[in-house]
Amino acid sequence: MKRSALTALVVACLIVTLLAPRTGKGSRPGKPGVRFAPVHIYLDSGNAPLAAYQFELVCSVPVRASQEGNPPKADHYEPAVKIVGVEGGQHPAFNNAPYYDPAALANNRIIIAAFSTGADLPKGRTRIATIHLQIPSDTEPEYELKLAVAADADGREFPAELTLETGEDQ
Amino acid sequence: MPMNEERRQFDSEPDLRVSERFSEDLGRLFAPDRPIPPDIDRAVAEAARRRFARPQRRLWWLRWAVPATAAAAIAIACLWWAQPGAMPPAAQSPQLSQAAKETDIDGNGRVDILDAFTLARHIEARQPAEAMWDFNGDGLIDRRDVDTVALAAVRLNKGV
Amino acid sequence: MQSDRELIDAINAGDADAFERLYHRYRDWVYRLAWRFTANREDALDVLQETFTYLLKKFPGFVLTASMTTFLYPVVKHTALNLRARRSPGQVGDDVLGSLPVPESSQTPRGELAAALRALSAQQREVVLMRFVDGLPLHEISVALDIPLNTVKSRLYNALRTLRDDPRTRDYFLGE
Repeated sequence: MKRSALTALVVACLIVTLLAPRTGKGSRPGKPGVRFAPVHIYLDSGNAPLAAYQFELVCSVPVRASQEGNPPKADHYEPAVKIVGVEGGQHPAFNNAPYYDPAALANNRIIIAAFSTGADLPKGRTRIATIHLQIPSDTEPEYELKLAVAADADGREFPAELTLETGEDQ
Repeated sequence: MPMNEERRQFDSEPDLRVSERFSEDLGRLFAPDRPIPPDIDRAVAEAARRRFARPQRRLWWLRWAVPATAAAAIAIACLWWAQPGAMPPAAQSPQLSQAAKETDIDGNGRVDILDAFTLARHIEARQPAEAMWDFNGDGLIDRRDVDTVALAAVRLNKGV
Repeated sequence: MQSDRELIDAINAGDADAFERLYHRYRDWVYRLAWRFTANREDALDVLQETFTYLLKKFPGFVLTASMTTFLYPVVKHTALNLRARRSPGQVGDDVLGSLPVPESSQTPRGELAAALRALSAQQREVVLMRFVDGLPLHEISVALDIPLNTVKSRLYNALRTLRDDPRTRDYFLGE
């Protein structure tokens, strides 16, 4: 009896898991037609302690042919992907929100920079910032990332690798 | 509360029975303690004049710029063809404007976060500072000036 | 008096004076909102200037698709919050209710109102202030915050119900 009850419970759990609605990983729903998604920026400084960085991110969506009867008007242009928020990184030295131009909000291009004069600086691969985007639901943006500055505590620049990852779990 | 009443609240503005004194007292609660100084107004007016002055000047020159540019291009092309192997003059690297030069604290020829970083380290180390580093004009060289330089570094249209 | 759209058309045509008129029309509104988010005169003035610098860069080619206040609200808010994040790391809250000058006695109407507002959630408080201080109608609050209109109504309704049940703010509500 106990075994059959346990079996029934396991089967019930499996059924619930299989039938539960799945939501897309890495995004949350927005108003119809758009979704919101974070983009995490990582900088790998190797053995050098990172004290200052600056980079530029441009987000774009593939160009579509305009729909017949509804040609887009140049004076009503709005970028398809919009930057809606900026967060600091994982290391305490870069926890605070970095510097950026407020004009970048609701646009698709942003320059982000930060520095730390503290003694505790990150080395190796670290998440330096997260940028929140508003994206049309049925598109996957393309990203162009350019590192402008990576420097140590003395302000000496060094080569570093900049990468990005998408998804909520960071 | 009955569902009907709750639904009516959603159908119309929920605040019809709030007295005007509520808005007045809230406004006083969040009122700034001092007025806006006139130099802010002047700065905004000046920024607008600068922004809208440029296109008119550009329009005035446009009448002559196009034919002049075309003539210059033809002349350069003729000279280039006339002297095989000769290269047109290399493009000049962009010069920093005077304002940007002052913000280029580390003198590396560009305005970037390292300028703000350099200034911040100067301030923290209490090292002697240049008077021109008072970017916000408040008579002090402090973290606000660092922020000013950093914001110049990340500005999308640097205009240098 | 020119409407906002007429001023914007003039600014798009290169009229700097029109921009100055638009600035003076919304200067105090932006400053009060910036003050609410920063509780600091210098920061509020910085936010004021940054907001209009941001607006200036939209011209020519700016198209007003909502009211000016609906457009300006998120710009002021994000600019102010990011400035505060840089100046005061760890500070939370969308407004500075916790930093307001404390009245001499919490028994004063102003002190009681502040205390009652603190009892609301940040989301409820924001909608109340947008409605009763910034003067935004509900559909504009919905657009400015990018949330459904019913969510705005729900937050406002629940906030006002809380304030109506609070003895400190009951007198603000008219009788049945």
